[in-house]
Amino acid sequence: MTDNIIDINGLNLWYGDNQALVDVSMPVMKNKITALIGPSGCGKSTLLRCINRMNDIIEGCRVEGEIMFHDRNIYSPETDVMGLRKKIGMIFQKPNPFPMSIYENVTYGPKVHGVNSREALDSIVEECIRSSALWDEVQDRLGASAMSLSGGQQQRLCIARALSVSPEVILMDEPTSALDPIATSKIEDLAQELKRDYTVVIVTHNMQQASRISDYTGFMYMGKLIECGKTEEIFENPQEELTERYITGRFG
Amino acid sequence: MGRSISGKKLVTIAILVSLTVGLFGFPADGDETLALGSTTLHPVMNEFKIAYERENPEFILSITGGGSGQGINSVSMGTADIGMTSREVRDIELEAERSLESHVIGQDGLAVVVGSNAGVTAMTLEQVRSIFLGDIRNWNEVGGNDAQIFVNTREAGSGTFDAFDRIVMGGADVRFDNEVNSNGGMKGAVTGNPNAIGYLGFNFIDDEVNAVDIIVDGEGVSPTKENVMNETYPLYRDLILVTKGEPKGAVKEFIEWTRSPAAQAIVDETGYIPLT
Amino acid sequence: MSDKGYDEPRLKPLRILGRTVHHDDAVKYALLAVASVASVIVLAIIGFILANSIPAIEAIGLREFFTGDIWRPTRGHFGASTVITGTLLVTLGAIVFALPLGLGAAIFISELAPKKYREPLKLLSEIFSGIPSVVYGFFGLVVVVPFLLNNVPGATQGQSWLAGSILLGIMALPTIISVSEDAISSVPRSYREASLAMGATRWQTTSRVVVPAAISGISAATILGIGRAIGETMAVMMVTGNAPIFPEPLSNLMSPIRTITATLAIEMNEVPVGSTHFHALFLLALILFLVVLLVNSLSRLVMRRMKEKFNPTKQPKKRSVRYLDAMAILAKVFTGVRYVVILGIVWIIADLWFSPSAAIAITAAALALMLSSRFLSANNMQRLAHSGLTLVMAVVLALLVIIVGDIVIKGIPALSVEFITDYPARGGRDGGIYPAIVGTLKLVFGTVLIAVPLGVISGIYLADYAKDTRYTRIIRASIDNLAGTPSVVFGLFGLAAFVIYFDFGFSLLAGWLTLAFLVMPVIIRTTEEAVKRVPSELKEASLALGASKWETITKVVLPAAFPGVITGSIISIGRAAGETAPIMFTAVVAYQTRMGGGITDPVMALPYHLYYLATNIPDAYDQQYGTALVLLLLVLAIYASATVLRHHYNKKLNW
Repeated sequence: MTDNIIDINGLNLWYGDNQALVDVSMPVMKNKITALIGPSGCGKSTLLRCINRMNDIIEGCRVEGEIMFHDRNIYSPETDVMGLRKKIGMIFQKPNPFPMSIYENVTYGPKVHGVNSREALDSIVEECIRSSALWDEVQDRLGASAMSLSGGQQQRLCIARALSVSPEVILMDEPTSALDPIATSKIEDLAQELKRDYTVVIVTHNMQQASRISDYTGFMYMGKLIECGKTEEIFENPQEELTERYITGRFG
Repeated sequence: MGRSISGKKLVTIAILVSLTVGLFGFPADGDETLALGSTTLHPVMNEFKIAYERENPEFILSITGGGSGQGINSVSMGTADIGMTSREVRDIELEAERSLESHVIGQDGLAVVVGSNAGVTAMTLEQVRSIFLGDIRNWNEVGGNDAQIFVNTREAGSGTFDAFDRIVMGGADVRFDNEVNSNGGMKGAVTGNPNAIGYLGFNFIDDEVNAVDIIVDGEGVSPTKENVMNETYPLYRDLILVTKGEPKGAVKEFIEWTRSPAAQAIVDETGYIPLT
Repeated sequence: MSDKGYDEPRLKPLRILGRTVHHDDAVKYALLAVASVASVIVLAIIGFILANSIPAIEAIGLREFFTGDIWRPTRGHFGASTVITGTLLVTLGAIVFALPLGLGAAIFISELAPKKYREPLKLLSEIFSGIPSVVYGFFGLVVVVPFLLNNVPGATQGQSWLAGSILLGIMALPTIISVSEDAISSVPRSYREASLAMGATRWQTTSRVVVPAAISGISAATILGIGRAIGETMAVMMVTGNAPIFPEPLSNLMSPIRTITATLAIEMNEVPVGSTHFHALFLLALILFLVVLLVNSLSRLVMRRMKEKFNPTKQPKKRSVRYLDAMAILAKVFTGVRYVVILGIVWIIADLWFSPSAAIAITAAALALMLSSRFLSANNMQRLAHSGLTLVMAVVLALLVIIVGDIVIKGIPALSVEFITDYPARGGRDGGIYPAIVGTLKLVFGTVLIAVPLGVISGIYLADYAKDTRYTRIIRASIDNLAGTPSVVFGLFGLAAFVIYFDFGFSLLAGWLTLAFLVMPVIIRTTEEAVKRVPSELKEASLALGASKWETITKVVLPAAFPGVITGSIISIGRAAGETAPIMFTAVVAYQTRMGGGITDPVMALPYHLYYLATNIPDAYDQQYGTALVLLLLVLAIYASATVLRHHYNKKLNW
């Protein structure tokens, strides 16, 4: 029986006077992949960034509503945001490894959170890079600069980096839109593997990708969550007309 | 990025090391006595330094310029131990610091010097005055060549200027083309321009400058120490060491020594007029 | 892995003054406090100078001060009009010299030079800007002044307005060249292509489209150059004769003249503290400070308008037809004015060299040339213009080569191991300059220790923490004003505040503080730029891993911004090493035979030593040139290393 690891209730968000999210409510199922789809500007990335409160760093951003994680509203004032982000990691659209070595990229997070012993760090590095299907390609050059990797390898390194702090949830913001098809499929396979141990929420503008890999899908349009549910049902039997029109490609 | 990181570390370490060395690597050598001010006194003070330091190895004298005004001011402000001046302390300077004390160590003559194209070897004080007033503009008006005179003077606080002002100008304003702030600077200005005129302490006169005779009662008097001593040459002033309050300790001993026969002999040898 | 879990915050909020303060907020306020130091200093400078000048206003009266033309303070005359006019005239002459040369060189670099020469040429003009002003002054004293004396017909002296303007012009050149070049090369390519597509020649495009489009930037460059010239002290002090008079006639370029800055430098040290003369000098400093502030604000205004022009964020205003007519008439007037100005300048310069009638003939010939250029074919006009620009560039380069070459050639014979390692002897006439070298290093190191942390932290605050509030704008304005303050004003502030008020005396410490605030704006600006250039994705990646903002800055942003930050710090080292006026009133003496090492003791320093030798010991030729060469090499090495570092890292980190 899967349960909700995250519950979004009545979330509203404004950038200044501009309302970008309107009364969004949806659950995120544990150890499943949830996809957020919708046309450009519909608010899917914005919603994603709410889950780990990355929108906080944007000036003029105001949020009302709640997101429950471990029975607590992450938007309550006592929330330890840094601790939250340790539990909920993020992969970005453009691979953004630090300009450091591969090893140092993966040890950055653990070090920040207090891990100092060499053996612990070494084992974290190997474990995470293996988990992101990168170990075979880099195991003998961990000291090399992360910038020397290809785009797909960098993105997998970013995934390893996100795993290094033992998150429960991994948020992916269009992680393959900057990658070629082969790298893309590697990441998609990886996501399927990851859901065994982690919960994944992925934003994608590629409907086929959503239907390929996700278990649940949420469709958004102009800041509202139009429909969400099991992926097969959304794609084969959408309840809302808007959803159906988007899926059949009448607008994009 | 492995290489570049160690590059950054190297740079940081280099900077830190240089900082430490720079700050602490040159330990103090001992307390200095700083004598600051009139360049007129430099030649005799240099000789004083050599002689006195030989007898008193712990005493270190640093001598620097700036002119009489700056000498008095520095002593006032406490940034120098001894102020060297070739004029008296003015009232306004005493107002700023009442405790200033003057110690005369000798006298020096003041010569009027001209450039190589002036064509003049002697002048009356009146003529010199007219030139510095701006009433006479051309050397041919005083029997020299046909050339416009390039008038040089010293900065307002200068002791050398003070004597010139008292004895030649009578307090009238100088019309000048160039202002310098040391005897050396004056010498440079006069040797650098063939039509120049200026005034210098005796000790700065050598083959490169032409010191004119001053015509007194129809007779040309040469600018020599002897003529100052026998009172035929009119331009001279006191050489004074100024301290803030009564001198104490090492400075006191040094200043007392400057009045001693040994020191006064040095005054005499270096071309100044000793105290009688 | 230590799994602290969701419940225990890693960085607990602090309790300060009974309130709970989150880690990030605490950091923000701490940084804000540091960034406010710049504002505090500007206020302090204004405060000290104002406080010390008000007694002068009471004692002398503003009318006498501004309209009286006798400046003889020892006799109680405080008429500053000659000195104020002197500053204006010398600056005017400097701009007349520097603007055509600088603009021509900028156009050459941007439009004519083959691409591969562009960077080296810009680099060279940056080197120009690194040469300390006392070195220019020295060159002026030993080369320019005798040259003018011997080559300007009828000249009785070389110390003159012309000498001052030539030196100031050369010193303003790098500013004018680099800012104008930036403005010209930012003109969108589409403008040029549109013009060429209509069949215009490159020269027509340059002169009728590109340069007018860049006029705001060029004006800003000119205004900045003016600001630089007005505040210059050492060079003018050594070559203008320092006679507080109006030139007679007013166009007499060979007349001696005195500027405000020279007056301050000459008289400040010998003035009894608290006398009317003392206060009168501070009043002069106040005037100078305000004028420079005004000039710099003006240039900032113009720069902002230029940015607006190319990236308009607002709707362009609608213009009425009458406005356009008025503009057309103004344009015709300006053309006429341009003729008058150019011919006026030609006449004044010709008058220098030739008899009045010959001067008139030359001016008439120039007028004929200007008129006849209308009849040249477009291609011939282009050839003429391009040759002219190449000539201008050659002249600019030649100036650099002559100055540096003169010092190198005459300085090398003076260099020896003893020169570098011995103490001076016989008042500086003999011996070496060891304590001056050490003193300079000591001054620089302390300055950097104070300025770099303050500057970097302020830069980080401005880049990553500051929101666009009124207070932030005040801080930015303060930093800009600090950046534009003349170094002699810093010197006076250092004297009033650190030497006298805080009673540090003439000391290394006073010198450190004065120099640190002088160079801080540079470090703040370069740090802010460097931090802003770090891509936000890197910051986001770090934050998303649960790092705090401050951890992100120290572990990710600063290391990535390191090259820019280091470059700024190195440049400030170069400035600190070459400045004379700030240390002249706070830290240096001219002659030490041993080094007393405390921070409450004064030191020798290379720039002041050069000045001292040049003006006190004129026959110590070798010593002077040797000192100049050592100083020049030191400063150029510092600037060169900054440039190399910047280049190296720019290539490596391709964002």
